[in-house]
Amino acid sequence: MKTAVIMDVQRYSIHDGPGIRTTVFFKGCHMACAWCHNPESQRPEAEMLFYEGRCIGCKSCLALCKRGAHRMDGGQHRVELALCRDCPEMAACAQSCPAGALQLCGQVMDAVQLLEKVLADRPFYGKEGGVTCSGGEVLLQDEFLMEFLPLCKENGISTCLDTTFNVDWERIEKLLPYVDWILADLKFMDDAAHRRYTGAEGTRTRENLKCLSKLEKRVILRMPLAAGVNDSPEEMEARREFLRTLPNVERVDCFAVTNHGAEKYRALQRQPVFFNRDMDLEALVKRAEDSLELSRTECARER
Amino acid sequence: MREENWEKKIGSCVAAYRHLFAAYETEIPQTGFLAGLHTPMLKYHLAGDSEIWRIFETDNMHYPMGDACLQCGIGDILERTKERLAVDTEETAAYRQGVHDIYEEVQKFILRHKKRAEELAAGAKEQRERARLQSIADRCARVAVKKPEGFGEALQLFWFLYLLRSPFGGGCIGRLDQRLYPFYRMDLERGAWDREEALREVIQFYGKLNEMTTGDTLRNLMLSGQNSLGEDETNELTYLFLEAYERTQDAEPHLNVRIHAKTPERLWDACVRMLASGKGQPTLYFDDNILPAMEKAGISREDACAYANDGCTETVYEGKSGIVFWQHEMVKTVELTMFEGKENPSIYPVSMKKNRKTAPEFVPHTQLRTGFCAGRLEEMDSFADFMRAFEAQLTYQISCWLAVIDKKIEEDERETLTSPLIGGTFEACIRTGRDPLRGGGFTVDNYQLLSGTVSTAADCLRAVEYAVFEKGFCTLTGLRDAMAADFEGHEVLRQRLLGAPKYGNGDKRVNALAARISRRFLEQVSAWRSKSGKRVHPGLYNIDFKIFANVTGATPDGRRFRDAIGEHCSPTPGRAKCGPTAIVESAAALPMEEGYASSVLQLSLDKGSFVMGADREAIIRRLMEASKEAGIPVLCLSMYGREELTAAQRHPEQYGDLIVRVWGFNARFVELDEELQDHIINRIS
Repeated sequence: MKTAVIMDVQRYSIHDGPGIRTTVFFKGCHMACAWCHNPESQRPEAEMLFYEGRCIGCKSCLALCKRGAHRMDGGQHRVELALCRDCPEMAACAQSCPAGALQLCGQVMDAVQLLEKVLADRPFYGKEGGVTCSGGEVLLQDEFLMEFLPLCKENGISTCLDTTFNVDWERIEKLLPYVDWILADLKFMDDAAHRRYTGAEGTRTRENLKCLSKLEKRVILRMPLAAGVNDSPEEMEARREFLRTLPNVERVDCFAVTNHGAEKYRALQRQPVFFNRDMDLEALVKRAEDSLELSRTECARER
Repeated sequence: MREENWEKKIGSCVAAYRHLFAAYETEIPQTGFLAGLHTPMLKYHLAGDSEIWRIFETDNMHYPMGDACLQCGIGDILERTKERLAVDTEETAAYRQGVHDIYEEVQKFILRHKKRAEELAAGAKEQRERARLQSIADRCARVAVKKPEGFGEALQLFWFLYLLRSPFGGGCIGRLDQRLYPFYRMDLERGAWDREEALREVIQFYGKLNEMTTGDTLRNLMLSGQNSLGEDETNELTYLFLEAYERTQDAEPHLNVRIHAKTPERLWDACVRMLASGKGQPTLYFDDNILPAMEKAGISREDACAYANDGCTETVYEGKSGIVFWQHEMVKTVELTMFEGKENPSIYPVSMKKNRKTAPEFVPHTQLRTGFCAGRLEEMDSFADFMRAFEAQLTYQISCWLAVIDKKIEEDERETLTSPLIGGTFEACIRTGRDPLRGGGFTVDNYQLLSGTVSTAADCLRAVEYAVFEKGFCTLTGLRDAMAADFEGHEVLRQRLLGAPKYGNGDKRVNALAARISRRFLEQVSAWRSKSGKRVHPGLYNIDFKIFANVTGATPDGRRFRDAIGEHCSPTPGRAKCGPTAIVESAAALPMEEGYASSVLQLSLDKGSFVMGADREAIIRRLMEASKEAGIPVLCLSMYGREELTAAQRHPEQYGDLIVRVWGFNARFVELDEELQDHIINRIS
């Protein structure tokens, strides 16, 4: 049986598709969006995070570490996370921390183990809800999904993929018989900007969306908005034109990117990049919706 | 009681009522038709007569009134109680006389309104206003003597009795959609039903409740339900009472709806829509998870189907019972186990307010019995040893409570006096002259022993198992020493204890422990019988979780003295990290149905989370249905924005209309004391 590295299994997810869902966050992404809210999802392997503010200075981890990743510096706990990579003691190290300052992100699971977690919320799914596979880029896990999604269908659970859709069509096509909903991101129409802010080309996403529209698969399109980055009138006009070619899109969710992931960037010892600071976020979203000519039923502002 | 004392005791009760009624204002509304209002006399003291005070504060405050006035009219009550009957004993003769004397005062009170309305009508310049005032006068004149002949008259008579029943202006309203239904039918049959006018009257009724006081007022209005044949009892008035609340959106009354297999889709929709507005109303009672347990406890199907709620969510059998309840302290029981029968030495007396900012301060103490050592910690080698000691302590404490209740049952069987104003609302009382407690109305004895906070208690037990016996972070005595120091100097251990699995996160072991202690409690209470063979009805519920937090020292779950304790069957505030579905999963593991006296799950959703296409109403509907299917008897589902509540703490003047669900009641958030405000913020999942 195939395994995958799972970042988190989040119960009572109400933003990742219809109804009450369980969202499975897979680790590993081939893109690196500058505003990524889940930077710990980008690397494919398990990794350590260090939340300095939670440390109570008990030194439990120092006693355990054989790589010299931890030291005390004038009462301050310093960690060199690069030394923790691939350390077989990561789990024990995280467990030794009483305050949750050290956290291991990534747990290896097979499809049956994952299904068991997803079944916990089955009484709440009803007809609408179900499981959403997210990431990271979930479509990089196509082989695992070929085992997991059929299991979900066997158990009568609705399935949804939350994806950049920026992978080869072959990876997508084989999964489609087991997928009820697709949440796909549309970040840029402008290719140069796409490369600059996500580290990848965007043409493949758009081509895949066109392929999908021919198959009449149910799609919710998501548009993360960063002021001054992807909200220009030209960009919006191009999106509006593109949307006309996608009759299968049931809803468009415009949302402003936030800086909620900043603490996680610091815990990974990376520098967060900030967007939409001091902005009226509601106005930003409203402008986008208006320029896309979305009706109230199509857009997903707070109800 | 010696026979000659009945007359004296009832006489002083009548005198107290006379005194109170005289102090109430005669209020004729400036618009609309519903007459009568009084400012609740919260500080009113009947000097030197504690028994009468007790009547007002307890018996007269609680439980729904009977229907005699509505069914027979005051004139008939007076006629049937004016003379001593040949079969009367001293007690029944005195009680009959008491009912008569009080209802004479009730009649006078209503006629005062008639007179005042007539005076105002005589002075009114406009014809339309004169007609309105004369109509009030005529209505008062009729209901002072005769039984009501339509919805408006019935509501008016109910309202007069309701505001007279207690100087506090509170008490159970009960199943008003059922009680007033025959009068709605009368209107309908003679073509006099005017829905808009009825709605205005109900809105005025709600307005008066909010004008009197808000908060912990016990003003529970129960809607819908089913009869003993399983037929749905939803009617047009059910929707009218709900709609009136949707129009007013204030704290009062406290709305409750009974849901069952045949509940119409329209009622589901109305409940979902109201809950989605985020005011925490209505509380949902799932008949299918409540009625079978009542029947199992010997309550007839017919009596069970009449249930409403009183106090907060305690079940009361309308027209068939009152309620008397006691509250066990489950978390404190863990403390007494850890400290071998003594209290945690770091506890100090705390001056606190019960819920309102403006309430008087008081210093609470534990109601548990100290001194019983269920085992020495040094001699416990396993978690099983510790659990044995805990359960022995629990058994002992429950036995102490049952002894207290037994005494109260004996008192009620012998001499407790129910206010004759309340007694007179029961036809059996008018007929027999008996106190409702002794054959004059109540067919169900409703003594209740409640214990919620099983969530925090289970967190404590699991933390002992995890930290002492599984991980070896400390010894039992080491843990006790850290608790005795309120974890001062033991932060590492405290953090480890906080990291132990907690109730409300779908953890099977901690859920199983919560279920085990709940079952233990429920079984011991259910199996007990008084000397006269009466039962005590159990519930997994606590009103005083805030008091418990102030009398229970540091606990093994990492909680410090005075930190919050979980309410009812809900997680310790701040400890549930996996959202509301995991909380329902934990609650579903408990034998909640067996706690039919009151077992509630409080779910507080984050209002701010309904973005990005999240369909608020669809999600609420699923949570309701799944909770019902999971066996939850009572669900309180509220929705707040964490940021909004925090802002309201900082700028109360801007948030006067922010209504929150507290325990069994709704209140204006800014009127609650800060400790309770923090509790409500921290329980958002």
